[in-house]
Amino acid sequence: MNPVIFQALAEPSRFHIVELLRDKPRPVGELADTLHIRQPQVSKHLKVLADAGIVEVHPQANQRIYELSPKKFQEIDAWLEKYRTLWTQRFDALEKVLEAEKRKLKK
Amino acid sequence: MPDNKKLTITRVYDAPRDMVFNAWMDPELVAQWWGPNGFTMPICEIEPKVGGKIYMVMEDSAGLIKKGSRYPMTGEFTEIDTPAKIVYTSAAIMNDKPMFDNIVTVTFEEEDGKTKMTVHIVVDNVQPGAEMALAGMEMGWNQQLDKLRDFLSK
Repeated sequence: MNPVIFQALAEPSRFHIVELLRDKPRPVGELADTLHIRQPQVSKHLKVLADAGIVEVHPQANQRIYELSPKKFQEIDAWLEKYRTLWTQRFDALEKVLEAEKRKLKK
Repeated sequence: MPDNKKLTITRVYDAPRDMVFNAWMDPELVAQWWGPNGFTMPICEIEPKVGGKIYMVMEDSAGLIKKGSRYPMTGEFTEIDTPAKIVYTSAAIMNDKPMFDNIVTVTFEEEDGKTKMTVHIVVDNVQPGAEMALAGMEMGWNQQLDKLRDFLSK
């Protein structure tokens, strides 16, 4: 995953914004109210997240609604797939250890 | 959008249940299979009881990420039901900071003299940088695939 994404997510408020958007898309005002941060601050954070490609904005009536960008979250899901690979590799190695233990028993 | 931070992996081993269970609880055995290829485990401490501590340190001896770098993992058993079930929590640590938390549930079932092992992992609190901790391990896996490809093409 791109380091820019990590820098974008490393700031706690931005991390919280992403967690909230994971639930559902929201306008800036709602994010500010939920996080108890002033709206201009939230907008600054949203700009960083938008530049990193993590969020997208869509106008709806007279509001701008922010939502998570699906592509970036596919990348984060890719992390989980790599983590799964780590485990399956472990279980391949476990098989070899069990084979060795069985051979010991036969002696 | 899937918020899928859960993994379930099932394997069947042609070995008795006691043996498979023991491979998770005996530190000398765990040290042999836990780490990815190219990593060694200079420290592996397991207290096999409820509330017992787990402390493991993997070392990047092959230099996949940075030669000699160490990756500690701490954990604690919350449930042990010999030889049927193990539940533990753990945290992977990098630069003294937790990179992510796990709750791992392992069950062992006997089936026709073989053992069906089911592992359910819940991942939480993934921090930026967790990717780095995995990158080298993925390189280890890719190296193995390259070796296999070379071997098969001979």
